[in-house]
Amino acid sequence: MHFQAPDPHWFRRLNHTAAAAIIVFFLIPKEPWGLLPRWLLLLMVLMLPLSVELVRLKRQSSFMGLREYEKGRLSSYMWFNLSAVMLLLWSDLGDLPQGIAAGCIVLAAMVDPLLGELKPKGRERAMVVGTLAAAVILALFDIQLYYALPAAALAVYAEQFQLRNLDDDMIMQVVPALFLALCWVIGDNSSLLPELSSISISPYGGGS
Amino acid sequence: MTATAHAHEKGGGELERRLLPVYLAFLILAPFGVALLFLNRDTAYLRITLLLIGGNLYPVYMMIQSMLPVKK
Repeated sequence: MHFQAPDPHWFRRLNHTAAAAIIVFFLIPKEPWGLLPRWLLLLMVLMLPLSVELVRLKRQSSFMGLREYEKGRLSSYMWFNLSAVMLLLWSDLGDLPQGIAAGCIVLAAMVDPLLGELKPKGRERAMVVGTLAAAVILALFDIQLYYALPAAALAVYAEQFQLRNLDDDMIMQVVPALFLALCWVIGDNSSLLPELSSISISPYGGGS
Repeated sequence: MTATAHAHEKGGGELERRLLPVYLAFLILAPFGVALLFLNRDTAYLRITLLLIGGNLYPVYMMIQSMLPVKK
């Protein structure tokens, strides 16, 4: 039996939602096999798509799932990878709580395609549903709703801007992460967001 | 048109043509595998498991649907 080529639209959407699986990083031990720290392993894994992307840019070529305008610029999936890796490193090497990093990555992975599907049916409704979905995702990572809701609204609002040099895949991760990190710092790490300081996805530690 | 033929038509080389089915399998299985890993660690992470499965179920279904051979 020969399968047909996948519909590029759904192929692209699935690439987007499946990217949420990158949070598996938090399940890796801090030093897998006692050889390398996991952040170094992450950077090594990033080299693979980065190399593919550099070759693609050099050849000015395109492959399945990419849009026509991405031919001569850094593609969306690379923007997503770079910002997700940035948040994971910030969490692993810095003091960003895992719940914020993981929540914002999953938010961008799932809400961006949701907005893409809903916008043709009405922009305002898409923004409302997108904000609610984003808030629920953040809340599932133990972020209090009164922080999750403004962070979600910021992410969805920021996604609307078509910036020349930044892709929405990056904006949707970085904007809510910065907002939540700011709340977390201002909140004296415990009084405003007590759940965030205690959340730890990894059974091997990493959270506080 | 088959998936591999499509990769070829898009200007992909032999490598891309061969890798596409492998990548498609990875794309479909990876999110669910990771979701199960979270479940395996602690039942408290059930909501992350459900989030990963729930968020990927519809796109996987639609993509597989689009790949099935059309019945004549």
